[in-house]
Amino acid sequence: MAHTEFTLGHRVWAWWQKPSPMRVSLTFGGLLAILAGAFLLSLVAGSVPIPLDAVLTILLGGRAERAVWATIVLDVRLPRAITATLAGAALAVSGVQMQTLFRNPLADPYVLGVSSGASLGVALVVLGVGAASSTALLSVAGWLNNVSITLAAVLGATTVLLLVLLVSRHIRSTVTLLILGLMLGYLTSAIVSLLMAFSLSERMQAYIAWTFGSFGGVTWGQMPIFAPTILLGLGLALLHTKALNALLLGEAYASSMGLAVAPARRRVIVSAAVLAGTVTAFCGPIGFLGIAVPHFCRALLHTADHRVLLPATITLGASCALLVDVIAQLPGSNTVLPLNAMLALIGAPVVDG
Amino acid sequence: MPPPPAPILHATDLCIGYAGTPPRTVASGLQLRLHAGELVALLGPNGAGKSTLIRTLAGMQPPLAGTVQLDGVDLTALPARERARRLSVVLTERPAVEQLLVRDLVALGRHPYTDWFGNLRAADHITIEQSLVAVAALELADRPFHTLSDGERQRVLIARALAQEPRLLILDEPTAFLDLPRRVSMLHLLRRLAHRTRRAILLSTHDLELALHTADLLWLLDEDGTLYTGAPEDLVLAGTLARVFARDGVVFDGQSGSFRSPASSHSTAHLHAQAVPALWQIWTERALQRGGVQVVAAQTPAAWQITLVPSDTAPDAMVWRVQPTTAAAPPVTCASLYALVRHVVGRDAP
Repeated sequence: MAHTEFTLGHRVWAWWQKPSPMRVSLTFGGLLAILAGAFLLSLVAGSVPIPLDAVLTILLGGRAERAVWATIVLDVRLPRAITATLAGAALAVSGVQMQTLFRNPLADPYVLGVSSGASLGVALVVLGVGAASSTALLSVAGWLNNVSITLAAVLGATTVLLLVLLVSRHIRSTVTLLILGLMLGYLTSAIVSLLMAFSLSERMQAYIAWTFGSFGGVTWGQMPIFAPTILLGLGLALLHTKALNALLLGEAYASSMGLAVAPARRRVIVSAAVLAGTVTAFCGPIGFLGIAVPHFCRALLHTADHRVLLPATITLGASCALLVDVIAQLPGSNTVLPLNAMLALIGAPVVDG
Repeated sequence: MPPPPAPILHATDLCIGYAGTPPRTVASGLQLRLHAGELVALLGPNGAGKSTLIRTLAGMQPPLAGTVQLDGVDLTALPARERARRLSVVLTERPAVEQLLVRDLVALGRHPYTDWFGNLRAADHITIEQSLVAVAALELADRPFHTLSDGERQRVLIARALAQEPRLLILDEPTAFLDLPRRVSMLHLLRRLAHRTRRAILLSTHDLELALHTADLLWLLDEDGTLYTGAPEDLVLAGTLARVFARDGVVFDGQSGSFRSPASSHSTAHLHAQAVPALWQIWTERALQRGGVQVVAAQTPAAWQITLVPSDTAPDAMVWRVQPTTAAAPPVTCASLYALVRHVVGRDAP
């Protein structure tokens, strides 16, 4: 057995396999470095490359060589990077919450149907309102930046959240919630299909473009709503770290350890729904991150302990969102690929490996 | 004489079952006491309501009537955190949890003692370590829970329950998934825990024979909701065990403390076993009984004559000489009980 430990690689691997506070701090240091790098990269890269020193100068309030760079960095890329950071963290955390609550590795932030509700709200606005009148056509870009889309999504998500909370008061099994969310999803896509069948192709395209997902839609004007809501949701999630740990062994054990399961479950649902609902409302239904990042973190850190897992998913979720967004924008070109497609295209091989 | 110590758990006029319309009563009028340092085994036929009683006493479902007092406080009035500091459970369901080290799983038991974030202090780490030592699982501490065997998992789950530092530990069928040697060591472990740590331990089980050997007290729940309590031997002598578990074709043998299906004997034998170790005689009788041959006293006529004699070849072994009483056949020597039974029941006949 000793001869296998002779090579340096084996030793490092054996050390890494052993749980230690050292490994946890090292991993967190690495994750934070990646996050900082990804954030800066998303400010540097884009259709117009801007040198890093210029970006730093602009961020620190200095004057760059070209005035337009300051506009690009401060008004386009910075809000986009902040949005990606917050959205990635939010989806990853609410994914962890749902996977632990439902004790199901396939659960994701959208199992509660909050995103379905948001989609329905958006579909009603984009496809439904004035569907009969062909004269009142607005341009695709006009629709996408419209505040009414965000508002519709928030309304849809909130309605579903209230419905879920109402139901959760009267049921004993968490699985019922899972089925309810699934049914809401089917119901939504049915209504959306119906709306599509009777709507104009331009509007259909606008709706489909919304489902692609984008971190570019949050302006500085919307940031004061988006950022605090996400931070509130993250804070609420972190407050329930201990409850999530108790729920690892199931609700019966959690209750026997002194956790008031029903209120804890409700509060975890609220924070997960606020996180997922807000991201959907402002960025569209962004998939994959919420289900993949938690698994990746568990495997990376060899732990299901939420005291480690939640901070890790926050940093890794944010980094993934930033990096994939950079790639989706195809730096140096004017083409932007659908964010959702890129997330799955890049992420699935990484998680499988 | 000092007054007897107050019981840790005290149930009065307890009625258990399921509220609803109409409510379904499983058992009623139960008077129960659990004392420190005692291992109590709850036995009963399938469907008698063992799980319902366990769940009610653990505070996981409310009683239909009556009270359960834990340390003199009504269980339903006890705040969840306070209850968790007095009572912990090991459930039948086997939690499937990936990527959780044994040490971290046991640490979950500190839940009712830690702060809002679940931070562990030095004292918590000591309790976790002690809990692992108590179930002889310290060497498993740094292994992921999902890589353990069934027996190891059960020990770790017990350690988690011990980390709650309870006065009362309740286990629902802790031996269900274990093989026989592990069942024996599991029950002896629990017995040691009860006696050494002065805790009360209540477990439900189907392992009647094992419970007879290890439990300080049996709670025997009959199908009609009647509960009999007593030391295992009391219940055997009173015939309660035989009555509660009475089934068609199964009898409780008070002498061996086990159940068996009475084989109808169709033949008889005299067993000559002078100056033979008792063990050899007992197991010969058992083997013959299984084959349907009743060993009878010398006065009664019998179909076979069987003599136990020392073996010529193996120093400590015996062989069996068997001969029919009536027919003038020469004795046949059998080197094993398997051969003896085959010969006597006629399976060797052409």
